[in-house]
Amino acid sequence: MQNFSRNKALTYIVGSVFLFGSACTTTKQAVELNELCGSVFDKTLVHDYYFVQDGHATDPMAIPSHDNKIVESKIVSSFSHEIAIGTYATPARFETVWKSVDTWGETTPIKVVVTVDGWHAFSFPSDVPTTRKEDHADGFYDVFANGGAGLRGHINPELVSMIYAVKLRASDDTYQRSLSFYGHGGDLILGLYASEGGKPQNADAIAGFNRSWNVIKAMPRSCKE
Amino acid sequence: MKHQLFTGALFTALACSFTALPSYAELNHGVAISACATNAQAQAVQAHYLKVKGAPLAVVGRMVNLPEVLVASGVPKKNRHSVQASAKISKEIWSSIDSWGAQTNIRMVYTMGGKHVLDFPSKVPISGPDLDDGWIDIYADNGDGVHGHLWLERIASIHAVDIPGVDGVQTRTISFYGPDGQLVLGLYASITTKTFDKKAVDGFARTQALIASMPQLCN
Repeated sequence: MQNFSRNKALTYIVGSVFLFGSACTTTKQAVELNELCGSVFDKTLVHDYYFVQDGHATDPMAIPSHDNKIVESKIVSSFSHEIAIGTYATPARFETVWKSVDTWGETTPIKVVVTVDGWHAFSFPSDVPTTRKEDHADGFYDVFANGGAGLRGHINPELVSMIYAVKLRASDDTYQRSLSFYGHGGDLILGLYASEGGKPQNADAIAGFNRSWNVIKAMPRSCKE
Repeated sequence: MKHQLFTGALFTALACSFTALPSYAELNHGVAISACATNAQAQAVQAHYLKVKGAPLAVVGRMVNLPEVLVASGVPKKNRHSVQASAKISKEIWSSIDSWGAQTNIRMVYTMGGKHVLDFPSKVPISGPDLDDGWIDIYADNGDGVHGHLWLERIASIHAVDIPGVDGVQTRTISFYGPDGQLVLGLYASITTKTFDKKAVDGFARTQALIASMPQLCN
């Protein structure tokens, strides 16, 4: 009887530990990724900010992010899929998307946007940073603009959580088109802006952006609409 | 057995639901730390610098697995100066950076919490009018270069670091750090093995002297 109880207790423990190890880990990852998606409240907030209030139609996402103290991934994932298309990033998906960026053209002018800590924001004019042909054995995916004379970026694909393409229409029917990469905390790593609302639109950048949009569209979707 | 495993699964579900999951989805999720390296951290930083002489601070930060501010404060005392930031001090230091010259070439470095590295060549970004709105606005190349907006409340310390390189070229940076010790922005006047603008080095010396004249954050 004592042995039976001991065996029973052991079975409970083994079952719990086994399931805790697998099920709980899975749950945690799912919760973490879901936490990066906009909630119903966030969606209302983003809708009102961009489509009800005046003058915000093409604001960079960093502005409603720090105004409302929520990470940028929640802003970008609050748009409808007609406006923003996103996927959870794996290193393979990251590489596929950046290979599509390579097709925008090495001399195509864009803006590279960086936010630090969700607060400090910087926008750099740059040629398109393209994949540098070298191995990525050190864990970094290397991208260089202007043959190395411009931006030099070293991105760790393991630490990219989501990739989003966003297309926002300005009042003059021009578009802001951005391709943004987010970290595990939902903060922006960098955004590639192919065009800005109300400003001259570069045809090569737009065509390239559209190809990247289609590449992401073909991948499994992140965050429910 | 099946019943017992089911009970185990139920226990697991309950345990999972009570497990405190980290919240990543709000801003300001970093934990504030001291900007000053301990003796042990300084020793680790200096030991690694023997292997990668003159490397940008992020490189050693990754090697020793420390927030970058502890690298800036962990190099030998003769190679560093630091000050606790306030809105007034940050503005004063950026005014000094303005004096490097609008056409002077530098490199602007970002690391996103030490996880990635972005290194942009740029003209010196010059501060715009002080609107006293909590931001410093900076613009390079008369507005044709980088546009930057630094939120003053989220700058905790500012460091001038000047370390020897491998080819006689010093690595020189004025680096701004957040409360979590992560880099907000590094303005590199020169990096060992790379060409540099002498005007940037002269400007760096002035800003370094300004920071050295202020109460030092780390001994």
